[in-house]
Amino acid sequence: MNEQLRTIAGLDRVIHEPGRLMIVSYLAGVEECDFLFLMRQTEMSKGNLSSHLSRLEKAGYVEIEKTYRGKVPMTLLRLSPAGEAAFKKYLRDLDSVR
Amino acid sequence: MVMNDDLSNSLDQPKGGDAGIGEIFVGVMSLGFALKGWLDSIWVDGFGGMLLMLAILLPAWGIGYWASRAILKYVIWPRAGYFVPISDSRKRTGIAVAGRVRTRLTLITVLILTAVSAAVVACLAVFVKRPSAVNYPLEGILGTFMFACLVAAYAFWFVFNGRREYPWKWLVLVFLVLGFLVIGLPVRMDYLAVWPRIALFNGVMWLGSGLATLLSYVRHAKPSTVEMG
Repeated sequence: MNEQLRTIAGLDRVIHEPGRLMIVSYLAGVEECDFLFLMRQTEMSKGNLSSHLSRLEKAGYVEIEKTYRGKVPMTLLRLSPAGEAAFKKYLRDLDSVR
Repeated sequence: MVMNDDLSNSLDQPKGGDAGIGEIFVGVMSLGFALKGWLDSIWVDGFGGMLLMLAILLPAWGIGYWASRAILKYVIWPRAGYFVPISDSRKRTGIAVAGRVRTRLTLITVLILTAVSAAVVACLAVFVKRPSAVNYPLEGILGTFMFACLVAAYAFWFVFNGRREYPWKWLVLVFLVLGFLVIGLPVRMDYLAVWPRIALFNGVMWLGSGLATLLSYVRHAKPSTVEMG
């Protein structure tokens, strides 16, 4: 197997899925955001977004904080340092196989 | 690596540019300037003028700032969601790079505008000192010039960011430029009296445009009713 194919085979599958890639891309551009912002931007359903976020949280790529703004429940999301590093590596890997 | 422009642009939208916050803020400040200019003409000069400026512009800034915060909190965040843009010190990956490219373009444009502005002001200052010149006090020239720069900055913002979503703002821009030319550039007029009129006209235009944008945003974007997450 040549080097490029090996890189493709080694792409981070957690990030590589289009829905999660969209989420990570948005989170990479903000300090933090809430669930609604991400839902509006990605146009995913609530269930779909929740499930992708759970997967990313399980991988340690996303930090999820349940809080309140006034009396309104709010779910704050941010990319963890591990998620940031994984996303950078993913982009580097993609660049190297172009 | 630079991300898709739409992705990058969409991160800018909820900051307020799409709901008229910026225009409302500048409109309120312009009206503050207009009030200050008008009071100047009937009341004080010198040190008293400085105090008057603080007494009017600080509350105007406060009103603009708190109005912006309130619109964000009660109008935009419940509809578009809440986010904190990434800080310069922590810029990362693709989207941040796209943002940096735009920031550089904006900085270069502002630098060019500032250089041109400085040259024009310098020429006018020389003109003021000529004995045969009509009375163009420097404060009046600077005030008028400041609003010329604001209109130029608005045109720049509109061409690069606003024209797709709100095509009717071409009219606002045309009216701003025409209003500026009609009020601000008649030969042999007293600039000290002219710039408050420009401030009033621009303030009303920006406030009106900002409120219309906000109303349009409220009509088209409905707040979320589901508990999130």
